[in-house]
Amino acid sequence: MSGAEAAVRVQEVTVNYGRRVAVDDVSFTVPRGSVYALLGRNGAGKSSLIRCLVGQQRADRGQVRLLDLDSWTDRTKVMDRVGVVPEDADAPPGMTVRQIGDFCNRVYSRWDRATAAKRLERFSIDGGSRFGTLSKGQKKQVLLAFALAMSPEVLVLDDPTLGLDVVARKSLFDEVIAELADRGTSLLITTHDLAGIEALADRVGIMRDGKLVVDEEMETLKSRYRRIRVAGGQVALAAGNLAVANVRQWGSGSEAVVSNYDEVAFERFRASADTGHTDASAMSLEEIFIEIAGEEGAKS
Amino acid sequence: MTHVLTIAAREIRDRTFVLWTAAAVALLPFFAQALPGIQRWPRADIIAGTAGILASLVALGLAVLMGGTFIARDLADRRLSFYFSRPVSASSLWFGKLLGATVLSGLVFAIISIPSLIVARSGWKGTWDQPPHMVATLVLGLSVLLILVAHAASTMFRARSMVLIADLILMVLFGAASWMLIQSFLSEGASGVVKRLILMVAVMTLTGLLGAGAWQLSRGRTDVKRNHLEMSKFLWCSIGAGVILAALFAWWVRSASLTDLEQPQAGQNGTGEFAIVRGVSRGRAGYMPTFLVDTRTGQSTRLVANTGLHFTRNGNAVFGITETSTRTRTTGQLRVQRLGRDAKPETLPVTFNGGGDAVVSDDLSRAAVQHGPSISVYRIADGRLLASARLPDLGISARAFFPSNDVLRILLVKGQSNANAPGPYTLRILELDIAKRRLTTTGLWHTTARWLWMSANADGSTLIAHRRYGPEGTEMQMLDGRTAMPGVSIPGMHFRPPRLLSDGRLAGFVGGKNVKGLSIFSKDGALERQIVLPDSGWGYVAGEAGRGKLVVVTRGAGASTGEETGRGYQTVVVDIDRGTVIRKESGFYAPNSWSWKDPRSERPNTSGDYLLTDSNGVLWRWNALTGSRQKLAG
Repeated sequence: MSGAEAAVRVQEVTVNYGRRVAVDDVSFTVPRGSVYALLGRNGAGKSSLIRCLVGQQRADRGQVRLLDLDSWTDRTKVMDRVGVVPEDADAPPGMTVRQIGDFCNRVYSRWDRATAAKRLERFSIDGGSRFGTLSKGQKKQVLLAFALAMSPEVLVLDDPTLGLDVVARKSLFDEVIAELADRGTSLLITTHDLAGIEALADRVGIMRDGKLVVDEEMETLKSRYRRIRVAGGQVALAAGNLAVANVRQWGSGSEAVVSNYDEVAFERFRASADTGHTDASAMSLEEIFIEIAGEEGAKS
Repeated sequence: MTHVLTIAAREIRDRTFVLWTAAAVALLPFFAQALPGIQRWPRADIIAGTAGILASLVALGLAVLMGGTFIARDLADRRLSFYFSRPVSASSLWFGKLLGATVLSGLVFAIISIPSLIVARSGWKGTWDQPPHMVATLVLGLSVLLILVAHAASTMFRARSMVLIADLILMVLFGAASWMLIQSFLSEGASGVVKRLILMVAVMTLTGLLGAGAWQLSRGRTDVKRNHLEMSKFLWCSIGAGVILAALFAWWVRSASLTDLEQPQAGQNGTGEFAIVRGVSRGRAGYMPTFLVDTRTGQSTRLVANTGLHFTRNGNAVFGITETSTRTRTTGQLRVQRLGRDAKPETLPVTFNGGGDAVVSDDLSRAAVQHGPSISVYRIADGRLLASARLPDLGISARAFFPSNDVLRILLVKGQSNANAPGPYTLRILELDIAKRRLTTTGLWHTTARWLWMSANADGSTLIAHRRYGPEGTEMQMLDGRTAMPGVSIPGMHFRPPRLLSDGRLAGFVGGKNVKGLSIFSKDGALERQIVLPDSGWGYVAGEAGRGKLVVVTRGAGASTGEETGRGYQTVVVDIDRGTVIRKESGFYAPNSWSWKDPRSERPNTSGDYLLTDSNGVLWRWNALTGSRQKLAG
């Protein structure tokens, strides 16, 4: 994919904190109009990468480009076209929601006051409320409303659902989905709400210990991961050239997770082994994430 | 610019409560007169005084508070990302916040002081030396400085990084370097250079403080430690550049050579071999270096001096006291430069409280320093105090010399100089026995005069009192150098300060309606010869150029006394045995070299080398015997 077509282009980015490597040689690209879910456990390096992405931190090595602009050197130009909802609600607590809106109105070249007001109304947030007095969910809603009001070409959401209840989470995602549908905005999101993002993301990146261990289309990822259950005996998946990510005891039989599933290989395995009843079931993003980023994944 | 104003407006709006607090404080001055003990002052003064103090304190306190929090606290609380995730540049953020804090400080000052200014305007005029707008400007300037300093300190301490140690080391290092630079010029009394040095370091420090905020945010953004590192880098680089700039300037100022002097002033030793040349160096903030010049070779060396430098009577050394002043104390240190080839300057370990004036014995083994009514004798080799005494009846002048290494002779003249009528004058001759540490009076002489000047012959055995007693009348009275027993008296008209020559004769300048010139008297006071000189309405004997030859300076009608040039002057060489002028240099003058402290006349200048200043202030080396002349400085 050429740079011009990419909304986000991360190239060989490394971030160190002293001797600790927080982000280790990470590269990925988010095509325009797509939704990229950047996943990882706490401390995997997502927030450091996001800070580099939005020009708040300089990578020790590598380059981050948003909309074909260097996010560090051209930060002000980039930020005029990129909406950001940070992990921690960072607006000054003494400012009212209206004042924050007025401030944004003055600093952005494109600002849709009416859209922002409409969204806040939909979230039932009073413009006269001080930001510091709002609940965690409301703060996120305010920041999302303002991030969308500047008609972003790219939206960066850093764990936007953290600490939100189910209803607030759904409301937030609905808002994002509407925006994506209306304007074709590119979205890069980090979240622990894997069920919520599963239906939304086109592409997934999974970070583990600072490294990007997965970077592929959501469908591809989901199609190559399968849980195979065998009623009796040990699983001998090697016969079908299936790569085993994890094997555990399952009743009298066993259960294995394979990371390179395909129908032909599975049939070859089933035909070659006397394993009794054998079936292969699809896995959710959360299950796949656990396999990759969890304890077992870390060992493999 | 729009973003700067937007952020500034946001800062002010965020702290509106400060303005309400200031409005409440503005009422306090009107209740201040209820305080016990201050009712005796006028009501307007109390209101204006209290309002001014409160307005300044609150505004400056707010500046410190704002400076310490407006960036550093947001950084520590991770709220600065609010700005960085928006299209706001780091410099807009910094200058916007700085502007907001400054405006708030100014508003607070205005809110507190304006009501009192309206109600008690007369009190403002009476209480404060400066008009209100000047006080406001000063407070605003101080507020900006405090905001910047508080921001820097807060960033350093909140980051809790090891860079803080480097900050403290650099602060001490640059502080010490700046002080050393400034102090060295302070001791020379070069206030113009000191001001420039302070200005350079201050401007670069201010630039550093002002730019460091924008730089740290631009490079460190939301990272607290990175902000600290970047701020320190910028700040110390800027201050370091200021110190280096100041050091280069100091080096350049000190590199002034003899040829850089404008209208140099010179003084020669008695033998004419050496001269002290001092003058303002071109383009160096009024810096006045002092050079010791070997008049035979023209070679010069720098002398460190902030007070008068003197040659010893026999011309074998130059000495002076270097004063070092702090706010509470002034100390003096005697410096002696032996003269001669390869002679090196010596700073002798003679340090004493206060400034003073000194004389040195002919063999350079003793120094007597007078400070205030006390006079102390030191051994120069090790600075040991040999004797000290308090002078009785300290008069209008105290001159001293060492007739031998065991005795210091002091001439005290007491009286009241009076232009209208003669008054009583007393000469007291004292001797300080250095071994016995005893001060005794050896001679006393009373006279009546309007003005009295004492000098002595080469060994101090004969004194000459030049006394003016009437509107036109003057008298030269010979006295015994130890007992003040009167000897020959020479009455005359319009005598100028005379000079006792090396052969015992006396040369005096006489000016009157009919007679203008030099009068030569024998040892017993008989008039030997009168030599008429051109333009000799005023003049002096600059020195003896060999036996029987005097170098005399006369001033004509066109001479200006305010300029240090030879305009209107002429220097002539007079053969006093033949009564003829053997050489004349028009438009030149030779310095009158004598010591305020040592009354004895100098040794004859047998080499005939003199320094002359021409009408443009240029200094020339001139030989009175041959007439050869070479440009030296200016």
